[in-house]
Amino acid sequence: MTHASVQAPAFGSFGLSGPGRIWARIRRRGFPLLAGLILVGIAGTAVFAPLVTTSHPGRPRLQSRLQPPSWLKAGSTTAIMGTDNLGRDVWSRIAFGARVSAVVAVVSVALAGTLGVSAGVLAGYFRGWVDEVIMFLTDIQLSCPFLLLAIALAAVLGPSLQNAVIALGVAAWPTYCRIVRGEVLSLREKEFVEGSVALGASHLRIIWKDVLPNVAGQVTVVATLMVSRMIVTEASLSFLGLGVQPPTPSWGLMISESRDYISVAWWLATFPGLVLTLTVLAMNQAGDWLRDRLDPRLGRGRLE
Amino acid sequence: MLRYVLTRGLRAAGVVLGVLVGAFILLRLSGDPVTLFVAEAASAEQIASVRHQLGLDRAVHVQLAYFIRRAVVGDFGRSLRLNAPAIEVVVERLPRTFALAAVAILLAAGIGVPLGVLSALYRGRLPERAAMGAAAVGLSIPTFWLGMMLVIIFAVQLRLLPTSGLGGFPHLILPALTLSAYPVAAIMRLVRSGMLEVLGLEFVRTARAKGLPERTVIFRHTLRNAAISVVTLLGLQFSTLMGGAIITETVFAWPGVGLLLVQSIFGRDYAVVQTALVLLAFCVVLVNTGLDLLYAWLDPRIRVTA
Repeated sequence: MTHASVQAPAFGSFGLSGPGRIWARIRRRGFPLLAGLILVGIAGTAVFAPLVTTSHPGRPRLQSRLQPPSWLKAGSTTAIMGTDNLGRDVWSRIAFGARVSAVVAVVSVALAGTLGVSAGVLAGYFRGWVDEVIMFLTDIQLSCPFLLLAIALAAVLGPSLQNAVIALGVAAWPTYCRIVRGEVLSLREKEFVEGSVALGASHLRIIWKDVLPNVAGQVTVVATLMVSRMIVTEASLSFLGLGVQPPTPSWGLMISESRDYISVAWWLATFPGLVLTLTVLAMNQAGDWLRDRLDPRLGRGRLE
Repeated sequence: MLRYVLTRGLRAAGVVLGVLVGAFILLRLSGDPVTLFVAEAASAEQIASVRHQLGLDRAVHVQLAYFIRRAVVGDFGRSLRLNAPAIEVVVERLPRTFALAAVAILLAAGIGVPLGVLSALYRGRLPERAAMGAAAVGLSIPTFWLGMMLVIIFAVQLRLLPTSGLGGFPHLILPALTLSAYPVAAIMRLVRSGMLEVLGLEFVRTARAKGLPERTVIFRHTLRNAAISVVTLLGLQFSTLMGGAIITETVFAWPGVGLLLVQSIFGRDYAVVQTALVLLAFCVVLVNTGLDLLYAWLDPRIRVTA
């Protein structure tokens, strides 16, 4: 949504209050604000999951199995999005599933970032054979489709939430590495780095004080765009049975479990998927917005 | 040119070798392979003899060298589940995955290019906003969920198409649509931005000034320039497409390499897992190297810099 970033900053909307005011802002500021609101809503749901739900996500109630959403005829009286094959509240599982997605996103992005930024700084700063070895490793890894690699790693480590996070982190480091390396290569030639070298600063000090602060902006952009990819891939792993294991509520797992009931209970797959799509969409918009703000050089598609 | 072909080919070979080493390490990480071959109650001597037969009692680098030497001639061991050479099992499934991917790419180009052109021509107006909104959704929607929604709508509710399995063309429609969502969106965005870039340039203005009909300006001059970047993107998308194929094949029980891979993981049939991994990566390397060579042939400047 590039058109949003060139608009004038919003001023207060006089005469409007409550929802009207928010809507006026969305119209003026465009989708980034809407995306931000969605993300805040989902983060809030994750944090306050016990407060926004009426029943425990894992409690089976076999007498109320596969009940349609409450607004339909013959719908459930308590579960707003219906119940699953064990009578568990779908909305409650979505809300608690948001916690799983949030944890996966944060930890795996941080893991990939730590690995990738370290490798990228090493490659770009020391150049020579270090650079060649690291670039060759990224070459090899990038020749494997990202999802394929994540699947292979998760399969080898054994299916669990923790291993899925490790698999995602290890699968995603080359993306950070490539971008950071390119940036460090050019920073290395800058005068302020040469100045530090002339003053006798150690490599570690130069990297810490001169290099890292200058790649922080780009790393933030990559990390934001990476979050949505991690969420989708975790859901895909869980869908295949290689990620989060039952009975832990996870969006991908919920959709996977609904496969046997696809012809009798459409709501089982529909609602978790809608929330998942909305989250990813909002995160992508936020990432695009941040990129336009922080780093216009990082064109669209660099993360593919 | 020959020099470029050689260096590029050498790098590709190096990457494939690296993939083989990676596949070897991955398999060793997954646990002791002997447990797959012997009964749980096997004696220590039996285990030792199997270990010797499989060559697992030798040094790791010897095992690796042996593995690579066999892999080069296509010997990846036997599938325990299907009782056939692993390579045969995988190669047999490859055409089905390629068929799915090919139809998805055709769909992606067929839908993505016209919509991209449309949104460039109607910049800032409703068609552009609608198309770009759809593209944003297409890039965000998880493959497996899209597949299931299509099944619910077109197979379960409307009963127009089969839900899953292998069959004639109708069986291919939903999986191909599912797989094409991401590339459709990516192509749409790329064609739009490519055309917008060129539409402002001198030669387009010249073409218009010459009095050429608008249709000629768009199709002859502008779209042709955007086409190059679309081909580039399709190459880059090939890897993503192979990843998406794994999910799509699982959702629709489409018996290609992706479904085989997932089934083999759960069947602990690691020879097949390894073969599928290596072959898919090999295809990606092959496609990307081929495209690089094609560009070098089309644009001599690349040969000098690389």
